[in-house]
Amino acid sequence: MKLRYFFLMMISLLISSALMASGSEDFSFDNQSLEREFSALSALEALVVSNNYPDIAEMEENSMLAPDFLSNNQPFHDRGEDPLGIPGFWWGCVLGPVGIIAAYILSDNNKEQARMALNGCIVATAVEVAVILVWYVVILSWTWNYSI
Amino acid sequence: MRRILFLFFLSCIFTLHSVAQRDAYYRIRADFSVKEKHTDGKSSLTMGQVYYDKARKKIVYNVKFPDKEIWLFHDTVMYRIKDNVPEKKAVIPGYIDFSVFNLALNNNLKDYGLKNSMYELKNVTRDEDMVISLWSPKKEYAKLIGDIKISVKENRLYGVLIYDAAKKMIGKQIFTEYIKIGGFEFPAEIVNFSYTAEGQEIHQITTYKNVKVNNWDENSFYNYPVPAL
Repeated sequence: MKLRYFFLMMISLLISSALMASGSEDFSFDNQSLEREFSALSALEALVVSNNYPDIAEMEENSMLAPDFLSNNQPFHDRGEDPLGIPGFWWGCVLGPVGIIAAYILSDNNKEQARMALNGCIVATAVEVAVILVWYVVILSWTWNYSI
Repeated sequence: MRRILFLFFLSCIFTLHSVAQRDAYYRIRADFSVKEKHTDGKSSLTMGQVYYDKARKKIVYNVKFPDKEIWLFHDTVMYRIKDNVPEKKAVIPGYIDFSVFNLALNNNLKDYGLKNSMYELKNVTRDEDMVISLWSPKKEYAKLIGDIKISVKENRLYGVLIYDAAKKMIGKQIFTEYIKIGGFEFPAEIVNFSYTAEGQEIHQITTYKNVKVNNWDENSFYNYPVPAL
């Protein structure tokens, strides 16, 4: 009996330690891959500091920027907050074209939110069309079988 | 009786000490940089100085790159001032209270300010050098927001995992480095991963350098006037 309790206790200890280990793993990340991913931006950061914080126009004038930088750069607050805390995608997905307008107006004319709402609208329409098609196929096959 | 008096005296000293500790640091400035990468290839770099005074409750970013402008966060509004022309945007409630500046100055960074919030502590576990706590929203908020997991390493906040109400992870923050100024500690680098509803990932590295506390040199920034709009 004692041996059984001991065995059960050992198993529960093993399970709990495994659970705890998975908890700390959730906090891990690949630092080296992150460094590689940000190497170009880190180089630009060092360049900005060493030149005493010129703005982008000054850097462009002095050809200090990579040619594709301007098309890809978007200051981190430009994305704006989600309209009423709901991502633009869901505005478009649930409300359709009205949702696109609502997302645009509620996000203070943020084009990125409107684009996300448009994506939502397209996804919702595609899903709706797919469901209708499946429905018709089912109905048709059923009536076909029934008539034969 | 003597013992009770002694204990009372001791508890008074501890209370006064903790109040003094909390109020010892009231304003902070730092050089900041935010590097951001999206999975769709977009990237950004934003740099400048940031100022916060906990009595004024205004976060002021003096942005120098990519463009020279001021970002002022006050209440639930962000003012973007470029060439003296202000623009107004709404921000989520609690943006200032849960900012790293407010949490650090009020000595609440270790629990991410969740102790006196809409969350309650559910579980604490230990794994190697980390203490992990699970915070769940109070009943009335459970349908809107999800759990938050916090890990503390070497007595400092190390990581924050944010879940939505469907238990899907939507954000991960890792506080990789700290700066120590006297008894005050402030994160020097924060790595942030956001997972959007559309399946995109946004990676962000925020760094703070040249951190000064209780600094009076650039006083005008700490109480930057709110534009009349």
